Amino acid sequence: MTATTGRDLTSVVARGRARFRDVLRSEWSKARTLRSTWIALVALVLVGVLLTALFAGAAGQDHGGSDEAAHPFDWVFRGFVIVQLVAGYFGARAVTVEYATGTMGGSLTAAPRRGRVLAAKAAVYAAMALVAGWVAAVTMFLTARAVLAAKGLPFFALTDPGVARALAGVGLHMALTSLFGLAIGLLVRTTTGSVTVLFLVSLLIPALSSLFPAWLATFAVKYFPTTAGGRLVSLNEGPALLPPWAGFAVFCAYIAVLLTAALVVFRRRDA
Amino acid sequence: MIEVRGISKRYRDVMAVDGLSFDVRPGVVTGFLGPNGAGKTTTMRVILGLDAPASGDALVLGVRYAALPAPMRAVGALLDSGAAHPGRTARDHLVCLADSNGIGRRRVDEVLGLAGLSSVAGRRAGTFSLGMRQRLGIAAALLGDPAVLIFDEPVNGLDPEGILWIRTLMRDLAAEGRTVLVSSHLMGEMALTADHLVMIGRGRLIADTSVEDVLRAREVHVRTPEARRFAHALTAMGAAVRQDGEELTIAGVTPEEVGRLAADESVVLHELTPRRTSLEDAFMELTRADVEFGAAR
Repeated sequence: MTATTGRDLTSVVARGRARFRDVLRSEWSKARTLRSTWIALVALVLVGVLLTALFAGAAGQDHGGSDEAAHPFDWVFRGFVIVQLVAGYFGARAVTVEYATGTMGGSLTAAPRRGRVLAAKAAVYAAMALVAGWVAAVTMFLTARAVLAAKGLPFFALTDPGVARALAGVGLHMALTSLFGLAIGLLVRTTTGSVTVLFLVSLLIPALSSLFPAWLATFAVKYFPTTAGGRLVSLNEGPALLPPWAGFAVFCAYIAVLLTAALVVFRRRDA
Repeated sequence: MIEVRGISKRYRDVMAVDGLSFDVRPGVVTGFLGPNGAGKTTTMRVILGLDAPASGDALVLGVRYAALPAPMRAVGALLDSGAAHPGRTARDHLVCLADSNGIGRRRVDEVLGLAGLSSVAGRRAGTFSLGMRQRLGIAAALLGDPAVLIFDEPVNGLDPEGILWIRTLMRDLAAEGRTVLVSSHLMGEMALTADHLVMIGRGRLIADTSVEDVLRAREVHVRTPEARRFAHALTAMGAAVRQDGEELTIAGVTPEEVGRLAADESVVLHELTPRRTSLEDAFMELTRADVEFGAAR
């Protein structure tokens, strides 16, 4: 009986070994074969363009903007805060859809090494969010320029200091935010739950920071995950703010911790 | 080859599986029988590495599931009716799974054909009937041409044609030397499909025996005006017979054999009734207790 077992396994091994690139390919197939994936990505770009058109259209008026949006570039690109919600939702979907449709069991039967599955999902979704973020950045930039030109207002050139970095930053920020969503999605397992957490973290808490006690408000403006990450998409500078790449690094650290937590839970939990 | 070694699994305050051990051998269909809630699905999920047991171990081809180099090429499984995303086409669903184990597109088209789904391969799984979804799940299980197959309640909700198809498929797969484990809560279904039975109740092993032994252990009750002559014929065939007037209680032969003998000997029968064995009684008792429990809740 043992001999049979051994021979069976040998023949199975001889028939191939699933590698990381196979799992990666599977995750890409899963993502691209769902219409909702593409709808989410198109929505990401559209939301960016529409909000940019709105903010650019309101430029030059007395809008009483807060200090953090004082820089004209930041004002026009303010919509990216909402765009990041879409990116987070996009990342959460990578897992919540599988839990909702009961396909996670099948996925983990096909690829039982869960660390690999998480890594493959992260790579595929971050890459898609990165490209979509860059497309959004370019179209937002062109939209802003067109709207402002129509109003006879000046706008930045790509060659102005920081502008290229800020535009590239939109893609990087969206990629990271999708990973943020992925980690939340794994921890929470439902789409609505994930979106609620994303909404609280990326919009509500930063918006309420002026109501916090001073020490907490200072921390929130400087080190809160999404505000730190958003530094890359900002031309503002000041002692209360982290330098762009330092902010980005802080955001990366948050994502790393969250993804690690998600991995630990994902590995331990019954599928 | 599947080896289940003393696995236990608790969900909150319910002991779903309690120190369960059994082997599943290649070349035969092994029926995994038990009333609803007996722990069949949990056991299968532990074998597939989806749920971690509190204690014990389950080995497939001598290793834990997660250690298999290409799981789908070793084991094909149908759980949750092989759930598929309703927005994905049947073919895309299989492509996603095949990719994860480096299985090519040609094999995807092959299993679509095997499952009789070629003509609907481009349709979204959400538009499928239960029977078609079941076929899609079985196509997925066959993708890697695996040596071990695990089916959880595959005939649930199927029409007679579908049931016959799955039954034939399982028997063919076992005849090819594969290991086939199939769960059911229906004794009658297992008697038709399986060669071997692993019977569990409330997470514990009740019996690990061949189907033939279960059926052969049946008693047959016969009423005939020619009781004495028939009793002699039956005894000559090797049966154990007890006579009480016109009534005979026969053990050691199947009802089919008794009926055939009566025809051969031209014996008039007024009644021929198979009586359940103690094992079947035990199973029915469990099922009944389960039903009562369910109704009381």
